[in-house]
Amino acid sequence: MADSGPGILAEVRRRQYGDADSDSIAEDLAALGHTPVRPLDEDEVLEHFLTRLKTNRVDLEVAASKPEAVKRIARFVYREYNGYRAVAGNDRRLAALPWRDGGVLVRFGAATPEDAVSISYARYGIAETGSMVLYCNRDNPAANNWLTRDHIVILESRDLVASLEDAWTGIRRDTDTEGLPRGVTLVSGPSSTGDIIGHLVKGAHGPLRLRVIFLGHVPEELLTRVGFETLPL
Amino acid sequence: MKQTSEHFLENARVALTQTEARQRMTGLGQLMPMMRDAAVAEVDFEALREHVKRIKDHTLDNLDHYLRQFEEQVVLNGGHLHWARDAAELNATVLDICRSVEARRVGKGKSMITEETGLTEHLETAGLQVTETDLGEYIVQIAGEPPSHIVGPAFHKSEQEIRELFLDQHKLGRRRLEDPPAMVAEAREVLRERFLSADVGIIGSNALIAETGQTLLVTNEGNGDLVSTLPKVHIVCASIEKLMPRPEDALAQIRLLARSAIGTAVTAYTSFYSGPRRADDLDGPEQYHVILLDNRRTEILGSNYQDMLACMRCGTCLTHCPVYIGAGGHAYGWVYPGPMGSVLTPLLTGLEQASDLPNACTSCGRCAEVCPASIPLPDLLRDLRAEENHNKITPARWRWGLKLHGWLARFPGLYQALTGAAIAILHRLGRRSGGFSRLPMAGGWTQVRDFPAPQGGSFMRQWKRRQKQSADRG
Amino acid sequence: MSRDHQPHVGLFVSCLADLFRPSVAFSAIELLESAGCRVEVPAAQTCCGQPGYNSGAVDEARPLARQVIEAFAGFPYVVVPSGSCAGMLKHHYPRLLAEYPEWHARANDLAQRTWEVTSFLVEVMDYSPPVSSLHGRKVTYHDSCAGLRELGIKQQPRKLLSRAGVDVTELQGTEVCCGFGGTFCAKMPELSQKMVDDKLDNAADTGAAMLLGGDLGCLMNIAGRARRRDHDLEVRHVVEVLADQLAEPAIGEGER
Repeated sequence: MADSGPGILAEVRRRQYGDADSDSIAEDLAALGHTPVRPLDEDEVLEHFLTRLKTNRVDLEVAASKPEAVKRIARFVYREYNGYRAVAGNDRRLAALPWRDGGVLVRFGAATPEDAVSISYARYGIAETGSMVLYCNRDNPAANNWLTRDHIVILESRDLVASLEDAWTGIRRDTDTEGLPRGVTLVSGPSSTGDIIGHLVKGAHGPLRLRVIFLGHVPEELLTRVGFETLPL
Repeated sequence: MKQTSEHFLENARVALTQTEARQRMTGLGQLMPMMRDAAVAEVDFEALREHVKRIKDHTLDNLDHYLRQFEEQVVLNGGHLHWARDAAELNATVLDICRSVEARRVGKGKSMITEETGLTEHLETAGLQVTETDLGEYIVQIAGEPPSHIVGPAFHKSEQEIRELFLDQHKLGRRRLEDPPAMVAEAREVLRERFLSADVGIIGSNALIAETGQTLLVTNEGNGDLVSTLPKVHIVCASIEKLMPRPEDALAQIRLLARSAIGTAVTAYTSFYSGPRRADDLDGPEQYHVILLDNRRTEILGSNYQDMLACMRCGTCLTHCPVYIGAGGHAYGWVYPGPMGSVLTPLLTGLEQASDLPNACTSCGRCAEVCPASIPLPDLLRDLRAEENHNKITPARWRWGLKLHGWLARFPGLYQALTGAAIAILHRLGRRSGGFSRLPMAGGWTQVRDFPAPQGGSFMRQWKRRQKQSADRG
Repeated sequence: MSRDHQPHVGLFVSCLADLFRPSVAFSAIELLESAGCRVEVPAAQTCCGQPGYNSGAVDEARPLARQVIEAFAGFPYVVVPSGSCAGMLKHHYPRLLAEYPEWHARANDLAQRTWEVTSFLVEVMDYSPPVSSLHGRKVTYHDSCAGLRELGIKQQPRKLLSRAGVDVTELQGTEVCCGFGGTFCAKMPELSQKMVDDKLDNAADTGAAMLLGGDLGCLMNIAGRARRRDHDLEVRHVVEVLADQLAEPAIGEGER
């Protein structure tokens, strides 16, 4: 087939208003400044994040340590599936968790249709939107984000950032060292749909539930205020 | 799809008689604006949309630069970039790709571009099995209908209609499907098999990032990500105006998009894809293609209608438009309904086939007020009406009527004498009853409402008389 | 106030007030005068050109715009008892004449001087009307789209009404179009009917027996449809209430 690219590009060039060179285009763009959003104060970040998780219908558990995180995951999987199995990507941070001690049988790889529970380790959490940044790569195969019924995402408190732009600063840094992953995804809630008469239903095609294990400290009082209950270990 | 925009009025007339659907639409017209208002109140909407508009203007002013940059990056990331002049070229390119991998099944995610080109029909004619996987798109696909809303394609269907459709089309034995969750669960099971067996996944994009070559995909269901991940070929169809310079610019746009479209700060999944699976990836497609469609965008670029190219397809102008709520999405007779559709359809398919659409507007301005892309929709619609008038597409009786009125109004003395006389007669005829149920040359008005009788002699007559009297007295 | 210190106002009557409801113009004059203005009504006025402009007949609208600009040259204030006509003068004349530099400048100058009547009374004159004879009666209000969105007319009429002792019971969807839309209502009567019916239903829900507004086009549409439906609703322009000129039958009402 004939390549229409040159023709379209020439037509675009002919009709568009600008005819600047790359350097001045870059200057013009820089001159437009940053997105006008009010930055969150440092002491607002955690509460904002938790509030968003609640709005986004995300389930949350707080774990003070990695062994506790594993135990909490184990208890959830057992309670929901009467089993121990879960799938996780090849993230070194995941591999380093004490799964055996905590009682979770993890298969490292990409999720298949038979897997009910997948576990990811978030690169960043975003307070502004209540999102977890996950890459689609060897460390976290894309199928693990969308193919299972339950998606569990571990987020370390130090990886929580305030805004979408802050997260992207981190993503740029990662990309510089690791290369651009095939996918960069902001996961902000369980899969849902409003396509039947606007009635919001969870679990359209992706996970029915999204469970965040927050690795760090959250004051009990804050958790209650936002509306999350503390589950006993 | 077969365009029926020229029958807008008849289509709307039919829709207006469907009481139940009309009530649902009225409800939608209350609910969606309420949700949108609440979500938008979280940000400085005016500052944000102003910023995004400046970025978009800059991008469109330098579009060739950003298109080239995007192309380079896509190739660098291991993808293939194709250009399509029109619908036929896009469809042919997709079919070529499907044939090259001997595909039999295609899983489609939501893409207005492929609605525009009629891709599904094209692939089906060529013998491929195509499944729409967005729930709303799936519902209208199995119902054999076009979408009625660009974000909620099946918003026009009742729960009962969808239930009957599923009971009829999914051969799953006796069951009740008592509520929407039960229906969603059934669709999930039925479609899961389609995701897993698809050879090719086709999806649209909310923005193309020039700097990184990424394609942005914003969804709630996750179906778009599944078709981008599971099949061995991933095809992204997008039009050339979707370019954004940097990821940060797309993020700025997302803040407006999700809030405007569905009244939330963010959708469940916001994904930036960039190519096929990397060497050590465990999943993902082997091939990644981006098809850039022109389909008359270059004609809009640099024209009076350029602002329309900033449209982010959030659909908020639809549910804010009282004409859309009354007429329903199907009345518009093509892919894009509501105010944005009334601008876009004439520009993409020709003014003559869609001449009613620019007139399906009361210039109430609600669409422009809420448009996250700051598109002056009522102005653009008015400009299209001016083109219709100029090209004599407007019916002759309207053109001549307005010409006569415009001519007469240029001569105040004559105008006041003639209108004054006519009004005096109308006043005498109507003073007792207060109105007319029929009037010559006002059939459009009196078809549905009475014409209030003039109160008395025209003001200008009365005023002159008073001025004269007080001058005489003085 | 001496004549020289009185704000000098040119009244743009609007063609609908001129032809169908002179009491609107008389009421406006009365209000402006009692607020302390000197009011003149230039004789060389007919129509602002909206019908042509909105229907795409821009070549017909342009001479009318120039005519209005000429007729109102020199008035420090041009006041209009209609949101849509005021919006036409303020926002659309500059657009309509954009390609004629001299006229464009004059259009911009007119735009600076043009006021919708309720906003002029509140924002320029800070006027308080006398207590209305409607004091204590329930009324509802329709916000006409052009006034609302092009000029930000929302609180001004309510403020004046409340100063006159009339409280507005808000109707649901008060900012939604009534289905008039100029030639729209005649080109697409069925859709227009749906919209005006919604408006009437929402007005009925307030329990108010009177609906006020600031644009005769909308009010004639609402009153005309109410009449056709035998829906008992007294429809009036807000200035008639503020000037307490209620002797005349309401819009679409027969002589008593």
